[in-house]
Amino acid sequence: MLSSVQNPRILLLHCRWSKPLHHHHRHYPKAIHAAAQAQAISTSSPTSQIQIIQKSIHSREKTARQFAEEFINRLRLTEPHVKSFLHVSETVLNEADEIDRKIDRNEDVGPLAGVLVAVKDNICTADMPSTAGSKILENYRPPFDATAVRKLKESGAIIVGKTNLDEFGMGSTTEGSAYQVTANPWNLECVPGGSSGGSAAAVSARQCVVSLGSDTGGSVRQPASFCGVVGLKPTYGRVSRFGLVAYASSLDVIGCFGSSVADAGILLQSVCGHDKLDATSSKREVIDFTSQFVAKDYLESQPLKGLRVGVIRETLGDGVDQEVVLSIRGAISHMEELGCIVTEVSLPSFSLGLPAYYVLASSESSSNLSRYDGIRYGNQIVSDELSSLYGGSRANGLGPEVKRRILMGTYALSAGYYDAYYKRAQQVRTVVQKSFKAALDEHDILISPAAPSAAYKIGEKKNDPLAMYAGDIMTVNVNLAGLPALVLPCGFVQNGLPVGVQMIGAAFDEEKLLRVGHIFEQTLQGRLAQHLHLLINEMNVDPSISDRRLRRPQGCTPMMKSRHYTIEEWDTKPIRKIPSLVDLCVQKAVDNVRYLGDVGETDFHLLERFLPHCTVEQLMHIEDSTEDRDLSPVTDKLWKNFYVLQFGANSTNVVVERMKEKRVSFKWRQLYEAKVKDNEEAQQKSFERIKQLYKKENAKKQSRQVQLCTKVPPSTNKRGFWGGGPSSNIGNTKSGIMKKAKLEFLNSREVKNLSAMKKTNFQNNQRVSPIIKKPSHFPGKSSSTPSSSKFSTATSTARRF
Amino acid sequence: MGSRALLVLAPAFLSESILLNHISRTGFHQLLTQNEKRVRVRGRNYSIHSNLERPDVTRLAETARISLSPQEAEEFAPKIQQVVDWFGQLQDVDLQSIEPAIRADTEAGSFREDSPETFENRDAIIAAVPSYEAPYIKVPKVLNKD
Repeated sequence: MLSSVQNPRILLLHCRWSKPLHHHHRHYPKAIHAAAQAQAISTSSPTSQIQIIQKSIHSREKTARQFAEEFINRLRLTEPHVKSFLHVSETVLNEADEIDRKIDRNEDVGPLAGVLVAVKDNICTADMPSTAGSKILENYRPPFDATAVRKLKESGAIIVGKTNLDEFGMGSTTEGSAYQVTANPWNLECVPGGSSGGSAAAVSARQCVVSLGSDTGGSVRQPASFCGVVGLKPTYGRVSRFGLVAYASSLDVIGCFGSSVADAGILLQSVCGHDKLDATSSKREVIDFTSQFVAKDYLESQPLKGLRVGVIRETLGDGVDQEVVLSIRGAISHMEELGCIVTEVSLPSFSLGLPAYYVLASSESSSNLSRYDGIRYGNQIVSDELSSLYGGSRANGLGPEVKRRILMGTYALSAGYYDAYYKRAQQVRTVVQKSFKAALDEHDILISPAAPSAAYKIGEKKNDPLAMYAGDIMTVNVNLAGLPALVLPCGFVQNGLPVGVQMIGAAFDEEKLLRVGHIFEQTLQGRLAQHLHLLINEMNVDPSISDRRLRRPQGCTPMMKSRHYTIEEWDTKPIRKIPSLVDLCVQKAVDNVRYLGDVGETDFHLLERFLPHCTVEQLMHIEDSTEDRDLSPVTDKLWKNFYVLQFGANSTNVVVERMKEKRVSFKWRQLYEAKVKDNEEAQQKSFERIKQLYKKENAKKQSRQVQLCTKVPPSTNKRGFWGGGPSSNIGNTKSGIMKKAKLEFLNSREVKNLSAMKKTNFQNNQRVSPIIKKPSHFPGKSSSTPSSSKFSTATSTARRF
Repeated sequence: MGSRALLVLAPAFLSESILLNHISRTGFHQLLTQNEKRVRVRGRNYSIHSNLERPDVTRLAETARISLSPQEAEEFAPKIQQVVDWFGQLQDVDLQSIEPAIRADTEAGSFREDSPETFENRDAIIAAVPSYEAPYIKVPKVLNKD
């Protein structure tokens, strides 16, 4: 089952078009491109964007401003669809300039210089609003930066904006925000997960390099899984919570998102450490996580040899989507190939963690959120009595889910119930902590899915709190135990949405998690790239074979073999029509052809399948963006098609014959562009001529009487030539003159040409606009593509001009 | 206490029968759906239905200082009841002699010295106050006439 172990990011680099909103009319930064290309050839592994940016700006290959502009432009284009930001900074480019100036002066700029970081809106920033997604804090500007934000700034990072979240972090879909619903960049109809959905979607749509989130019960890891990015929840106490809007203080941690494990690790490195403003922050010395991110080429054949991996049995049972289970099994078999010793481990208290978590989180939130009374900050209602001012401001400012949790927490903490709920939940926490500790004594890391399903549709679980709470089963126990966990993409479900695997480590052992995660993601890519190439080659021989091959088990362990069919079995079994991975990729590309830029090293066979869906402008943009690579083997045919459609078959034949005659050959794109240019020049000339004639006519008219205009023919007559043209707006007197002039031109050849030209122009304009629409302009069957013979006559007339 | 923790980690068949006898091997799904039934059937000392009152949303809202409209209270009640019932499964677990954990063990421990410091950005704090009349934060009258 290849698709089950497919790392979503293979699509980013190997076939970079897969991410729908990745880049629109922008090139990948050259350095990123070059590095990505090098990677694509050897491994196709996700690269550290932070490292690339550092290298480029220090070698002055590219400026911080150039990087910032690329991200900001992409942000502007994608934000109307994704809606991941509640506030976008206006000073990003100035800050980037400042970094460039510092580099010019050889000053120290810090390890995150020029890196655009998005920050979840429940983390305080003094220079931007911090609303925590709640109306009660609308427009609230904290008087201080959170410690994590301060550290980011000290490291040279540029805060690009504040990302959307479920109000106060209470939710698993980001639909609970009081301001907007964020969409999953992989499928805009799906939720990005939550509560840090905005931060995950922003990284996934490449609106920023990395982002900060917060994780109380899985709020970093579940959205990371849904959005196909890397999410890191550090050990409780690793990162200072000072400035993090408190939800459940015994569980909250600030976490990191990145598009590679290395990025998440580098981000953690710069925000972690003891802070005297947070008594729960650990005084442990922070070791350097970042030095261990070795390139894939330096790895041994079994780089994780001897690593003891425990698969949590309870996380792969009933209630977990089978496709998710398959992805995780695929990830497990990959880890075995890397030399890990994989065994199952049972945590019987696992399912108790969920109610215990919700008791603790609700109780603590009812206490923590009592500060929002509308007196010292936040929205206040008008009232003549204090307690109704409290009640009204809170009723007005807090959303329904927040109110419910406060009420549940108030109930659990009421006199007489404390022992039954809060204390019991704390006892369960002890059990969970001990069971994890024992399991981690036996194993180096534990493995589970990050969520029981892939992303679901927006609105699907909105009215069923228990269904939404159940989605947190995979993650809450880790918060109860305070352990670090890393989520990284490991596969897909059939509808093309990513699945993440969760790796849980011992307390304060982020180093091991990051090392294992890095090796996992680097090697998974390489192996799959090989498979994909193999498949693409086969596809051209016989599609049915590749179809079967796609679903053949890859490197299964004996434990899992029973779940799979062998290739012989497939021959006899009725094959369910499942789109192959390649089909999914191609479909994604076709759907999002408008966002394509640099196609990198994407295989020609793949290009052949989706490039025909481009319009002229899109194809031109793709070719121009793709550096150091000639796409003409695929695109030449397409350009010929365009030529035929635009200028007619006759004109095309003439060109072909002329080339034969003179024994030269041109690329069809050059021919097309030359022809368009010719036409434009001819147009220009004819317009100028007509303009002069108008001038002459005007001069004549001014000396005559205006009454002449009574001789104008019925207006229907001229419609045929002028349509809704510019002249129809001119005032009465003036239009009289114009009409007269027009009349005279009716008989002249120029006017005929002009009307033809106008048509050309009109149709050309039509062809530019569809970029923003759904790309339905497949040249072969398009209805709006000009193809009438009239058109070609018009242009050939123009050429004679 | 230590031995209890070891039991948790014993093979599934052992721990299931001894410590958490209601949890099936694969878990949470069944737990969610069957919980209510189970709580009623067993009727143990801990059962919420025997000695804990059901949540009264209006009273809770008063305690939490959230003015709820009657419609809202009506809408919230079943949802809160549903979740509180679901919390009830905690009553069914034998947790005697297990210490409650306040939070994850952070090894942090020590508090900073309690010494006053001047906060630099005082103006920003005051700017955030919705109703301010220097040097006071203004609120409506605190005492009722009656």
